[in-house]
Amino acid sequence: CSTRIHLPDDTGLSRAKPSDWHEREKALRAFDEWELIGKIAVRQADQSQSAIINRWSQQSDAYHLQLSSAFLGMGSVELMGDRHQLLIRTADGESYVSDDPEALVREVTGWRLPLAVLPYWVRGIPAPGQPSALGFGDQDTLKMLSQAGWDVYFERYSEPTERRPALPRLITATNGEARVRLAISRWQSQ
Amino acid sequence: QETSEVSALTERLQNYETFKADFNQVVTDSEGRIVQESSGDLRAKRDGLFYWHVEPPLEQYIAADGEEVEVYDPDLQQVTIYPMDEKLTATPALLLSGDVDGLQDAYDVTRIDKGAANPEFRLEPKDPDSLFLSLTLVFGDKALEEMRLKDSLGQSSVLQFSNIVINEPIAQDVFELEYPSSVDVIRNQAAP
Repeated sequence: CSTRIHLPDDTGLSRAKPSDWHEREKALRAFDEWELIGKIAVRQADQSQSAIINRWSQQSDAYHLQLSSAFLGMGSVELMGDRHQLLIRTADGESYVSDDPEALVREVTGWRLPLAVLPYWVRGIPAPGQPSALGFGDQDTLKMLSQAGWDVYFERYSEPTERRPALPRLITATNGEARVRLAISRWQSQ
Repeated sequence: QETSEVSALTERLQNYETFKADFNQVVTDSEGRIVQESSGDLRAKRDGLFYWHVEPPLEQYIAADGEEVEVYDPDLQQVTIYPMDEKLTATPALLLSGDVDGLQDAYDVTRIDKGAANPEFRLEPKDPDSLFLSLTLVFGDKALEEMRLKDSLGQSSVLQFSNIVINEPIAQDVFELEYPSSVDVIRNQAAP
């Protein structure tokens, strides 16, 4: 069987999956053409950098992120990629390509970003095909998941609409000293 | 030796002991498509005091007290504190509160209006790895009305001021941010 992933023990969350969880997860997996606007803060040890996400558009596993400095609104960085490769264009106009996306992000920006799984976590579901542990809180909302070495906390959700289930508005993912925080100010389906 | 253009600009900026305005900021990419739009208000006071608030959906507060710059992001529930260094004082908004005498050390200044009543100055940072290529300051009848930035990718950001008030006293506590104790406070060594 797959390796057992455990939640940190002090979460007070229930591991039992609500009866409608599979249905909700299926709907959120099917929701794979969308755009969001928001902010990202990446922290390593005591250094933190944040950026405005002017646009993150996703089409199944292909993503295109347009970031700009949170300080000046200028200095844009673009990440275009999918599970297999990534192109990064930085503020000084340089471009970098690699078939190891996470290594490239780390090399170019110094950030630790789990790009392969982030497009799922941002919707409030674990990435398929990898072991994960889920923690549910009141009203059966997914409060936390552990996967790929990260603990991911869903701190705020948006209201569900008739077309879409509730989606995360504030997510914090930690992995040792690394921490990524995502604040989503607007979701849009394409 | 200060050129007449630099002194013309320095003189105008030095008139502002304090500067208060609402702003609208539009960032467009090299094809002119709007990448980001925001509005808010700012206050600046000589010798490094600066306050900036961007309204939701991309809410943000910035305050500088001459030594440090604090950036509070309510969405991210995070405050980041940077040391005030020359890279920061070269940012446009801080021009209004920073020390203006050293302008020509940081920028090459040229006046680009054709002798129109209201002057326009273009400032090109001497520091090669500055975040922007050029900054244009557009003056109106009353005061500075617009700041236009261009970066090496052809992206531009235009900051337009309205309800401008100059040299009215501004209380000191305006430049100290308040935020809930629950937010994370992070001290960064380097400027953003």
